Amino acid sequence: MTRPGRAGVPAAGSALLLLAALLVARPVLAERSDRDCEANVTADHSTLDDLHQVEVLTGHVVLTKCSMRLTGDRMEHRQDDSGYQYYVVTSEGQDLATFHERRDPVRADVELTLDGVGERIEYDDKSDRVTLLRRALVKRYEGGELRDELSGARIVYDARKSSYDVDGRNVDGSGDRVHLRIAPRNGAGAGPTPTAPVPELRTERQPPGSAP
Amino acid sequence: MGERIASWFAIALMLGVLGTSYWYGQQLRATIAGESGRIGAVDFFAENIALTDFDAQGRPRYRLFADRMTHYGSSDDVDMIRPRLLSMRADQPRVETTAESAHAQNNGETIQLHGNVTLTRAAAGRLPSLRMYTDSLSARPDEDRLWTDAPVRMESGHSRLQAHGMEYDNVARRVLLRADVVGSFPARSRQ
Repeated sequence: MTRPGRAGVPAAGSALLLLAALLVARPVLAERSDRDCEANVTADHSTLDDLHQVEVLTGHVVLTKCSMRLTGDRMEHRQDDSGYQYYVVTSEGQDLATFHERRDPVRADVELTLDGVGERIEYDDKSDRVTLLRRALVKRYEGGELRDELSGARIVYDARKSSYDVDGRNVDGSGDRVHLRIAPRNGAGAGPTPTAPVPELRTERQPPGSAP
Repeated sequence: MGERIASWFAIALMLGVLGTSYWYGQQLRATIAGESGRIGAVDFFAENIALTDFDAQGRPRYRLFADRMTHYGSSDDVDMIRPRLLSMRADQPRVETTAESAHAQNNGETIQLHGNVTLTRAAAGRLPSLRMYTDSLSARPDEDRLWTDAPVRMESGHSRLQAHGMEYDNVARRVLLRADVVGSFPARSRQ
């Protein structure tokens, strides 16, 4: 069943269900200042593997990088030779790892934010990509109002392309559904006149068993 | 009568000698206790020292430098002024620890360093240097292990972390920050 602004997509058995939601038109990027920000972190404990240069922070981990914020029970941090940072945040039990980021606005005075949760969240500073795994949920807000909502076993958010890849199936084969709630993109009643084209949303569904 | 007087004189003389000996012994004990505290009497000191410890194969394990070293004979403890401990294991990166003072126990099995303690693990290949700063640090040079319960600041490459308590194992190449970790990782553009 489909109704305006809401889509429920059933999956077919164990077949791969891949649904790509692509925001074309003007990309909505992470705040430009975020990219040049240093990341601040707090945690209960930390262990540095000095040989492999991997830092593991545990216990109430909070990382902030200007408007970007990652939280979880455990965070693995490494930096490549070029200085790019990689973070993997995980949480166990009821609590999920969380991700929050403010995006560059496409309308004047309308704040765009992105909130995500998952058992595991991977943040790749080099590709500007966020991957949320297991019980993954992403919500996009405009001016504090919920616009889009996506849930699945795996959500990849590409900040450069401003696109989401949502997969209903976990790596171990469990999980089978993707849920999307997408607000209309006509901009009617959605605040002030846009200063830039409102992002258009296109969804593509890959039939089970077909080649990617 | 004369014999009796002579006997009493001899007895008084003996008591006098005994009393003087006892008093002298007490004075000597008090002096030693005052000088040595709980770790025994000073038996020697040396200035600008450099000690090298070797393993069973004759390879140097660590070197210890100090402006002044005071050795206590009965306990084998050592006090040091401005010590510098240099780990020299061939298969591990060089680790240097400096402080304002140090106290070594059990023939150097454990060393407590105090005041502006700085630990530096040298850069090796693509590995950036690692530095730590704290006010007190304990070291077991034989095991290449150091630890502290005090606040500590760690700089690894461009990363900065602060915490309460630290354990550094140069054999396992692992640093544990025990509690209250706060720090920062720089953005790429700043490098």
